[in-house]
Amino acid sequence: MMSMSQRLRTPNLLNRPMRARLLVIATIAILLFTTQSTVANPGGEGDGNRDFTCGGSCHGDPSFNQQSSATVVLTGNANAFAGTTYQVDVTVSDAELSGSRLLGVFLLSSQMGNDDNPKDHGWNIIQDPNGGSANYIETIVPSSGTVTVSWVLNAPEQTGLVELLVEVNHGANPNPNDRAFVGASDSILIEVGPVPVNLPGFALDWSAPNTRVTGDTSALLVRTQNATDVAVEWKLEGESTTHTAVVEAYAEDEWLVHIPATMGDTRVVYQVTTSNGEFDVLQPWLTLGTRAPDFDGTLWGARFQGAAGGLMLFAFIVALQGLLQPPRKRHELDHTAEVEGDAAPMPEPEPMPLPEPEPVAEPEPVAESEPEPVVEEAAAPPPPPGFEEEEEEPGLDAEYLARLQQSEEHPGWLWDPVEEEWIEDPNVGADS
Amino acid sequence: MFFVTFHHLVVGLVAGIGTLCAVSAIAAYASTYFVGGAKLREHLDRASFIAACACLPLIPIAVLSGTFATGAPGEDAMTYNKFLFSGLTAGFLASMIIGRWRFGPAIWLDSKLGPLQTACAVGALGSIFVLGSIGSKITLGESTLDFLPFWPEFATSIAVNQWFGLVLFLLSIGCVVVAFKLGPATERLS
Repeated sequence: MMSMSQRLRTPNLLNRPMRARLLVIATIAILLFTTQSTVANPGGEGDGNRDFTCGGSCHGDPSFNQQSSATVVLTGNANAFAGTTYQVDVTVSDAELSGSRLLGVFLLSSQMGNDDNPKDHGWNIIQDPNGGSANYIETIVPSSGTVTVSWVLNAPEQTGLVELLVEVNHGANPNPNDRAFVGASDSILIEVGPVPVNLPGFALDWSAPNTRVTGDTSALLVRTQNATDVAVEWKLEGESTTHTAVVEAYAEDEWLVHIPATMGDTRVVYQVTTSNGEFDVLQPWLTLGTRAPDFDGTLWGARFQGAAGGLMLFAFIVALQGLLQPPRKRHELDHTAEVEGDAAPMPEPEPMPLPEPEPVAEPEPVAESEPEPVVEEAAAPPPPPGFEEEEEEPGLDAEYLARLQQSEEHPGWLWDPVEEEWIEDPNVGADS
Repeated sequence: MFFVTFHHLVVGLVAGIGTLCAVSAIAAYASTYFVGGAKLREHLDRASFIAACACLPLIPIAVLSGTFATGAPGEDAMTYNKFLFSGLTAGFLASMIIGRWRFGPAIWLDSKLGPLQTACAVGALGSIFVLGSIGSKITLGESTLDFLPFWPEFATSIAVNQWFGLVLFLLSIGCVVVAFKLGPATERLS
């Protein structure tokens, strides 16, 4: 049978210190476990040259992806001249997107999954839709649900039939299974024919610059082939009015194009016309963005600044610790006990007699009862210049002595009712 | 290649030991609110102190190995910020060590010094968090801070001229000397 004390103790399995320990351990565990769960590139991987499966291996793994509902349409000419510019336009619509509305678009030249970058098949990307020269770009789909992007490429130098297609990937909201949604366009077959002799165009290895530093007025270098003349039209992105840029011949097949400086997020689009008297070829529109000034930090500057920041923080906290520390204990400053301990034992305190004038020198026989003021004054140091001696009020002592009361219980002592203290009777001391 | 591997090793040590130091310190302060937490606090205090002492000398090694492992260290905002946050981490850890050394294990019980010591631990933990996130952003393109609904602007930094940086460095040394020489004397708490 369970005793009363056992019954009382049984529910209290965790005593108070144990509960406190468990709470501390739970706090530490919560802090340690509040780390991020692994999510594959939720904000995209950024633009780059990637094969489709290497752009994100999850997208190539059937167990991690799902068919997108997007409609992907790729348009471009069925014919191209070898080594000349070629433009493809991609329109993506009706995609179920994630909250960020981010869409990744691959321009590919094969459906094999690997070695499918157009550059692997002789294409040269002059400019991608974001102004770079990559086959994979990321874009934000507007609220209309349809987005159109364009690539400008140089066709392969080898003639024949080549293929281009587009694959897209994106997230969804909601996306309970964390799937990557994948969609693809139909392939287009392009017949790359021999370039007409002496056809002017961009140099095969030239890529258009995608950005300029804000406020930069330097000229844009355009490299061509078979061109004897170049004309450039430019306009701000989104505007319809075009302007003619000043073009300056820099070297053979190299041209300096003067486009006004831009600020902020301004983007300029420009179109080059290459001519040689025999042909005038209107090239596709190219984009030139604006970027912030380049970072001007140095290694030693970073070292000095980092060390200075750390040391200043350290000095600040050290000073703060000194200010916030509790007041210092008195015993370390007060050495009275040590002094008293080292000193010889003091005699019992006796009532101090009233001061009596001590004869310093033999007084001259003027009067017996009078002190020796002349000797006293001679012994005293001279007063400092400007010193004024306070004159005592003549009636003060008399008034003070008058208020003192005698007591029969304490002979020889007088009671001061104002200060409430016992005073030794001066008459007794003088008499004795 | 060697420096890349070595940097990964040292950074792992700094992050691990630094996190242990900061979490132990925070838990040591939290234990002051629990009856019977003295024994646990004693262990947490020791763990925090030893971890801080171990982590502090590893930081310059991590910075140096990172310098050799990177192509152009300090010449872009991300790596520049790594230098700045490394300095802050070292400052927080050094403050924790000096506070614990001067005031003793009873520092957690003081109503003003205990929170200050904990604030240093939180600062060190935050700096290590940011350092790791910048590092993974550089190498992997994603970081722990992607978890946040916003990405702090570590792609920009406040860079000063290196000679002005040198002046700041000398000034900071003077600040440390002044803090120790002219500051109030301290005593170990009991």
